[in-house]
Amino acid sequence: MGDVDQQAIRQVLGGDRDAYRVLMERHFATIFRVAFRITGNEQDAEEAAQEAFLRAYNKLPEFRHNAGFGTWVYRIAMNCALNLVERRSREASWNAAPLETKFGIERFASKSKHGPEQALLDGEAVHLRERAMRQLTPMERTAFVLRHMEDQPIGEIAAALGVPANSAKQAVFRAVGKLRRALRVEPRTSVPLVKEMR
Amino acid sequence: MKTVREEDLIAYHLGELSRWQRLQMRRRLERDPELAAESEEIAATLRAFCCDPAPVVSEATMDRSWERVRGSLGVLDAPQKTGRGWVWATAAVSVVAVVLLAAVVTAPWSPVGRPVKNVANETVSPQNWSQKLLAELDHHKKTAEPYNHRPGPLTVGPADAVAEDPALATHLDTAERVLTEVSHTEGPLQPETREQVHRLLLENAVYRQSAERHGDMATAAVIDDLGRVLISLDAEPNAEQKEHASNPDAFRLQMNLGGVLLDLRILHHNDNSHGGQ
Repeated sequence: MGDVDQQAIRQVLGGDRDAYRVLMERHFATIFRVAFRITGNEQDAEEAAQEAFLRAYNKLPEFRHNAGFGTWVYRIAMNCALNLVERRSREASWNAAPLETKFGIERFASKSKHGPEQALLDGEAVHLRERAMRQLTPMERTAFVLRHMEDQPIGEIAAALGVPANSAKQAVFRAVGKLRRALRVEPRTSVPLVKEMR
Repeated sequence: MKTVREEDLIAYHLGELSRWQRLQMRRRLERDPELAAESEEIAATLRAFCCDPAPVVSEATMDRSWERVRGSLGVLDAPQKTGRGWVWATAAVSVVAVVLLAAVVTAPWSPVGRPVKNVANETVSPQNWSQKLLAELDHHKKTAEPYNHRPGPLTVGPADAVAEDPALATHLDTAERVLTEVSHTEGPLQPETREQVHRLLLENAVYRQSAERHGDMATAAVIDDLGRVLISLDAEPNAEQKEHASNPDAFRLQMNLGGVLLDLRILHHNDNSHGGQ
């Protein structure tokens, strides 16, 4: 763990709450990234990241210094993001609309180097991938994102989600199987669904 | 030759196989074009999801987040020294060990693991003993009992209800997480967990009906058992009530959490096998 983190933790434990901003500034981007990948949109990612930092703060007296603060809060964030996705999945509106229209499709429209037609196809591919992701259960989605996109080991994912390693592994396998089938069965589109993204 | 399943290929692409297994899989893929095509489809699926960039955190987002978090921060106390706790823990473990040792030494045990009454007064020859043992085993396992008097989850048939209903799959996932958490924690349930248990319980009956409607009796049976466990957990006294209860752990002990968790995992496994076909 960096000296800066240790120093900030000591100050926080000494009663200086503002010192916690140092820890947040150093690790917020990573936590936000993982939360974004799990929740699928910026608003929820922000909420999950904030909750993770708040939980970490309240548990700071129990924090063992042999682990890095970043690793520790990352694990808390995985759990917060999963809980948020579970809460959202119970809300009727959550599955009704695309999760991330702004960041998904417009991103391609504005950044594509291959003209508007290609941008439209790219945007459509993003939309279809998001729809495929919505077919996963919150646990499958989280386990898949953490294993495949965040490259976390199964043991770490299992510990963060509070399930045995085999359950976490099975959740990842189920997720990949579902995504594969979801992308394969698209009768009306000519968009290349499973292609490598630039 | 062992059949390669979809999950073996996924494990191969996610780097979850051992070095030897990877080598074996590579050889199989070189020899089997159909398998290679399937493998390529999985690889393409994974590639499609690998490079989604996350948005950059702006200064405004950071400031907003800090303001929100800052407003909820209380002053923390420095961590307490735990030296005395270790002394108490060691003493407690020692006492438990002595009690267990005394129990083992003083209690007479039969070869089948049950206390034997009046061993000294009985003259048991080896033939008698083996006959008694066989009779006892015969008594216990005379007929194969169906799982809880209903069809169990151990089936080669696909778990249709789970595969066809994403909400049910989510429900089972959440139940597995919550029950795992409960089985790994001691003491009264946390308010958050209690709330989750209550919600799961309310939803459980609906999913049981859904599974029955699909004709998936194995899943319905597991959901039924899950409901029993959830009822027990939901009725468990809270921390204050527990102090006055005569046997605080009686409720927890009665629950067959392990059995239900195993059933849930088998259902997932069935779902996996079904999906891969």
